[in-house]
Amino acid sequence: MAERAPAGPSAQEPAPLLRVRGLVKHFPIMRGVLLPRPAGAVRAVDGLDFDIAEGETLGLVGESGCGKTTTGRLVLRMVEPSAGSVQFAGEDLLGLAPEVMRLRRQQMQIIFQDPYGSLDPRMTVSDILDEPLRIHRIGDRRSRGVRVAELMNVVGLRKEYADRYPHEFSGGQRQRIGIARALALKPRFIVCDEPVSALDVSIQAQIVNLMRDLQREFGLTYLFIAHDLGVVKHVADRVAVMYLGRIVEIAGKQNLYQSPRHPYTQALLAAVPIPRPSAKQALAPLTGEIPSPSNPPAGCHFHTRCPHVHDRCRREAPTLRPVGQGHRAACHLLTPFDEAGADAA
Amino acid sequence: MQQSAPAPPLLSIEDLRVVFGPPGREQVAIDGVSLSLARGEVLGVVGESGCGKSLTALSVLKLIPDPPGRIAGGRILLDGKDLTRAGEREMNRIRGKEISMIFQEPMTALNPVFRVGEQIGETLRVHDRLGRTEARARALQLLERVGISNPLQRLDQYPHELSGGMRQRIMIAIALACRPKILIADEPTTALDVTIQAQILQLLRDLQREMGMAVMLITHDLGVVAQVVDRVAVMYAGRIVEEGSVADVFERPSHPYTRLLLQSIPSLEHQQDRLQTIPGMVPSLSRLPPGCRFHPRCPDARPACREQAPASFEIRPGHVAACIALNDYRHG
Repeated sequence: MAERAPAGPSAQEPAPLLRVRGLVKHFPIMRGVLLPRPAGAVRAVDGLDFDIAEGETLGLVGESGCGKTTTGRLVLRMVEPSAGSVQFAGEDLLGLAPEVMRLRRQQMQIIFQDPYGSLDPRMTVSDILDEPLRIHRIGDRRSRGVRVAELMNVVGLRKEYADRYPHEFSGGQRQRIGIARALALKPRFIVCDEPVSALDVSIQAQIVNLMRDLQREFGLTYLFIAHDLGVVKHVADRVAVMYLGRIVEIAGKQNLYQSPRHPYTQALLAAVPIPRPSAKQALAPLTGEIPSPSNPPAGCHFHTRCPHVHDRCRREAPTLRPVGQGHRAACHLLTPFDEAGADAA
Repeated sequence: MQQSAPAPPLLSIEDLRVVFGPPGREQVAIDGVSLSLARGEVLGVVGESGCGKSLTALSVLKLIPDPPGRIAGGRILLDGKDLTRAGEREMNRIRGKEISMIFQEPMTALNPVFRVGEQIGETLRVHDRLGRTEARARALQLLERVGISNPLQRLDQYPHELSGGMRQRIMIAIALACRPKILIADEPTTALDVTIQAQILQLLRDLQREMGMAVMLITHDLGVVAQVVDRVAVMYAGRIVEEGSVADVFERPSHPYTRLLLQSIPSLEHQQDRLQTIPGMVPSLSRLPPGCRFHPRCPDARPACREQAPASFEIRPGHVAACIALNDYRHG
């Protein structure tokens, strides 16, 4: 392992800004026409534990159906969790009355993948940016106008665009509008749900750089959800990998990318085509399909595709255990690491 | 690299021009694209949205919706025969038999109301005049070959019962049923998860070698290109800006656009503090800049770039780029 210490917070950090414990979301599958009854459930999120420190970016990666998007919405209570707790700045969000939760949302915002789908086509840019201020009754008309101009400037939109509609913009510019809207209420924490996945690579780079600049300028904390491991490597301090509703590995960025421990993380990284022809890869590191989250395999969810599967993996779900400094993975085959006893063999 | 002796290319696109809109107010979507594809070769066509890469592919099969679009110039030669002059009946014989195509979204390309087996069999019955039983037997073999589990059971399933990866395998089975000489794959793995993408790319590569088929792979993903193709053409705003072997283009990119595009990928291999960006955005067809189409975004632009479209310069055998600056090196 490299000698450089992980840049992100480790050992004795202050209380995290966001603290998630035992987070579960089961969506019932209803059967029957006259008397619909639940006939099973999609276990979209199946017991997550993670923290995010103030000013940090936690990357959340995984393939479709792994529950990463649901996780982002649960944390903001856009979707109500089935079980577990979400603490924000020391306060348990799940116990809050809806009015109080609405106030807290000033501090917790979201940026969506498809800015076009999330911007009202009949509102101008200035209406879109003014709306959160109006809803939360912040300032008078004039001061809100100043704030809107400021927001446009901060995300790099020219002020002449204030009276234009979303369809008049390119994808990258629309994402700038989405970001400006998320910033309107001066949040501390932003869930970024695949914010650059729909953009071309040259535009993606502009938006990624912008988001990093904004984070530094305003001390923002990000939960950055993405399926692109390259983008996440670039923006995150720590990364959590999800598979079928569970976190299989979570670590500082250096550790996760340089010495991934879980077989799924290893396969996921190996599957990303490297844009360098001399780095010839064996293309397909994994066989088989991703199982349905309505009927996940018993034991370790990954056992049906795992190249190292054992009997125990089919029966017993592994828990997320320390496998290195600030590095946890859920795999029966890994030797646990004693975090208190620092240097491991 | 293929030994390009005197053998003529299997497919050759010459100075293709595709326009959209009513006469007199046409917008030029493809502006003088020339490309060739040798037998058994894998050619990548890359570029960002709207660069004309998919339209180029659709032109080959004459699948451009007309109106509003049409081929306004150039030739597309398949084994010497000009497809731009071929009639609809002729094209129907060629599609699926000589040239097949697979698309990004298999769900929209498959017919939702027919069973998988019937859809594969249809191609065989039409082109190879197989009977129903024969076609079904051959469809079963094809499903096995494209790596579908429980193929016998899958024959009788509908597309919606299958996962995205499996649907793309079915599309590949249909496309390859008549052993075409050319497969055009338009973003075949863009809608798939990365581990499934890897499986499909592996499958395409294996089948291409096995059948000695030529492949034109259209994609925006430079990683996929680097891993899969022999030769690559980079498109920008309706023109090819650079073309060469994948090693030359990736390791010695010569057009500023190619260079910046490669640098803007957030790489898994190394850590940059800031990503390289390309300022501005891709121009819309209605407001194409004069001269070199990239000049408004190019860090090395000079007044001459605004005046005329740059000619292609051969940097080394088989490696060409269209940039005025390359002319200086050659002459100065």
